[in-house]
Amino acid sequence: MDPDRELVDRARDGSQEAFADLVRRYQVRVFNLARVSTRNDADAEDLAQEIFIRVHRGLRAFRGDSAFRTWLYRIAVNASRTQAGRPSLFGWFRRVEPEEVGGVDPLQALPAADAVEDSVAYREAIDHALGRLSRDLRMAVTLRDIDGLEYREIAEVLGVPIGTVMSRISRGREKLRPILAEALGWTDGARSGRAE
Amino acid sequence: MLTCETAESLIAREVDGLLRDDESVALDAHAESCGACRGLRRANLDVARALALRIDAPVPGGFAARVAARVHPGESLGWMDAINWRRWTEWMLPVAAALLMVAIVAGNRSATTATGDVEVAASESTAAATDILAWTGEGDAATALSALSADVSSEDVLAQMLGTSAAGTEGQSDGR
Repeated sequence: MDPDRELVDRARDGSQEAFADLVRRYQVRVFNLARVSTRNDADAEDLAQEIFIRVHRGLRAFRGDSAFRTWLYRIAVNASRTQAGRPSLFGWFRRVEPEEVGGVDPLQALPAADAVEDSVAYREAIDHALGRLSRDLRMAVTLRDIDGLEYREIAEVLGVPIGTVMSRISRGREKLRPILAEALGWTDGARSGRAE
Repeated sequence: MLTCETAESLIAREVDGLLRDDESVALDAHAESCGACRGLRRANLDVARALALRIDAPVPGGFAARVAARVHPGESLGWMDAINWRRWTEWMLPVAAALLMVAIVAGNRSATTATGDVEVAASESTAAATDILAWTGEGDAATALSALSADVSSEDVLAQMLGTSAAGTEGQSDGR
């Protein structure tokens, strides 16, 4: 049973409150997915708004063959693909590569020790690392490790076989490891868990 | 014996604890003899744990209201929510930079003008003092200038140079 079913039905019947509830329920997930794609908050908000507008437009056509969440993520992934090529002023400022800003890599600028997991810099570093992956790998890893979707659901969202999802996630994590290892001070033999 | 391709899929699922016992044993055996898959396995465990520690970015305030306003255009929206502050700030950057440039240029020009004004004011003050001296025929320029610079009224300066008080002058005029 889809936990969103009742809200979706009411929203489809024109209830603004029900749609607002759906937005509030998924805004954090959608905004963060958008943020991983855009790598800045301003563009992420634009993209997240666009996603919800597409959801609203598509509600009448939504038959409930898949869960609402799966359908929402499919729209979000498609919107992210469309949005990816659009430059923005803010994005232009933020997408400057580390080498171009005096060699200061955001991953290198992480705060050390225990506070790292709680910090904004940690999130920035993760998003920056994810941004280095190809879109296919980034989406697979993000949907699994950031959004916590099941493999079957990811396969449905991305429209690929489940084996491809596993392969993309596995390879995506492999590519992320050296980037994060350098930033977080992992030892070569094993991950220390926290920056030393 | 597993192939590396199959091992890749198992490794992804292992992170989530989704492997059956027999799959786990097979993966261990494969990783024992395959360095690439050992590395892949370690990378998957490390990265999945690291990403799990990422704390979500907070959604900008008023986001839901802005979405509602876009899908239901007739709905009223408080002006604070109506403004996308991040976007607004972004587009104000060039305007702010332009205003700053204008302010710097204007500041330089007014400083130059102000210097000129001070010089003009000083020469006018000197001329005024010289006129007073010529009119009274007594006193000295230094006294007149010091009186002027001390922001004393012209009546006080005249009184000082004529050796009378302004009050006395007023009294005389009142007596007439």
